Amino acid sequence: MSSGIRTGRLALAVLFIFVLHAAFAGLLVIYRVHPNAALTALLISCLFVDAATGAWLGLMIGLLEGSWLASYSGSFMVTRTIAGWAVGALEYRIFRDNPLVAMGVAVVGTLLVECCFFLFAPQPHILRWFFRTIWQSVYNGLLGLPIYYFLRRAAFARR
Amino acid sequence: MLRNERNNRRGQLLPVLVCIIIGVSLGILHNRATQRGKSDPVVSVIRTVTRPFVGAAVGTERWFSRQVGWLFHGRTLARDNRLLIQQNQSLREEVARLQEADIDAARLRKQLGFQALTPHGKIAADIISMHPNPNFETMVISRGSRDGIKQDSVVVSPLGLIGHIYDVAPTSSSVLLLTDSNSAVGAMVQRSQSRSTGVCKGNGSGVLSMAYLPRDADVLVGDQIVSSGLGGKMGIYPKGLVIGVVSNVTADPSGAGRRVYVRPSVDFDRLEEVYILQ
Repeated sequence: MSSGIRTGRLALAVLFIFVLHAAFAGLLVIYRVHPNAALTALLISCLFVDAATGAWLGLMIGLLEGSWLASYSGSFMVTRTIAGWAVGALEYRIFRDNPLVAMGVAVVGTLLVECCFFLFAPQPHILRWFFRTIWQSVYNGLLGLPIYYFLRRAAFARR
Repeated sequence: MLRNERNNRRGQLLPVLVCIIIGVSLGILHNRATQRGKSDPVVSVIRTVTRPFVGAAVGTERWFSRQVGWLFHGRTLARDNRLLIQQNQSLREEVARLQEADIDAARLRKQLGFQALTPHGKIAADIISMHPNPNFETMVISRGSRDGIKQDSVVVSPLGLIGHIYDVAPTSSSVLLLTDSNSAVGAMVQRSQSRSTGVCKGNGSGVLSMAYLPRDADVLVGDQIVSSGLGGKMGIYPKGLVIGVVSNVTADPSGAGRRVYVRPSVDFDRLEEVYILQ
């Protein structure tokens, strides 16, 4: 399978997860902790592509997230672009194709992206925001496991 | 070889710079449109294009839960039915009493030369997306500018106030919930002996805090809080909409007054349908 087709399939799979996230995010709340499946899908999908493609995927998810929130759209696009690029630029010597690596990237990536977002768009109640971000990153890490298998299948499945 | 590697690095950096420039430009356009009180065309187009897919996913889930939901709720249905019958009986009596009071109030207002209170028209809307981003207390509903929805319209449910619309696309609108950190509504204690006014603010948790109360304000746990209809941007909410019930009153450590916490009357996690006031 050519890398173009693989990237196209990955982008569609990330889009699909975004649609599910927009529709069902409210149902996934546990003790007021909300996951961000769209961000998790972006971070994990970028493990399968290079830095440049990661940046474009990041811009796509940032545009979608910003459009559905209808606020801070520029901050969403920039932070997601940087995140996609950074994950895509990870050294290939790290064994990327591993569920534990995917979960780790989801946890650390969520923390860094949200901190970066906070710098662009500071929010009131900083302590509450901080703890919420920590729990959200843990939740995203757990959510990362099924998302990793789904994206891996989308990227590498053969007919 | 070194040159190839350098070119390759440049090739990886260029797209991220282009993406960041696109992101910053679209962000500036969005902020300009928002400052003018208009909706951002890019945001509107993206949301209008993706809305049918999200709507289809939500519709499928609701259809499925209608088909098999009774399997999981069967045990509680009989109990709920009994409670609802009792509640219906007491509400009928309450409605009859309030209709009488309404007639009296209208007559007295007329005698005193006050303006008559007109009830608001309501447009029903489905919730397409609850919390599209986990860090903000917002939702997206299924009505937009095509249905005559305008920015700053007030959104309610039968249980009370939900929030207001802050962005309108052709087929959907974004609602800022009362519980969001950026939300504030002019509020007052409904109890006739108190009527103290303040501002109910969201803080990202499930509970609102009521600020700017007079130091000697008479507020008790269990008091019902309604919108006061006062105060600039907060005044977009008409008077008398139920916000919630006082859940806790504590002394402020600074000695400036008291901290009053209000539990919203609406359970935001279980909403399916809302109404927009016209």
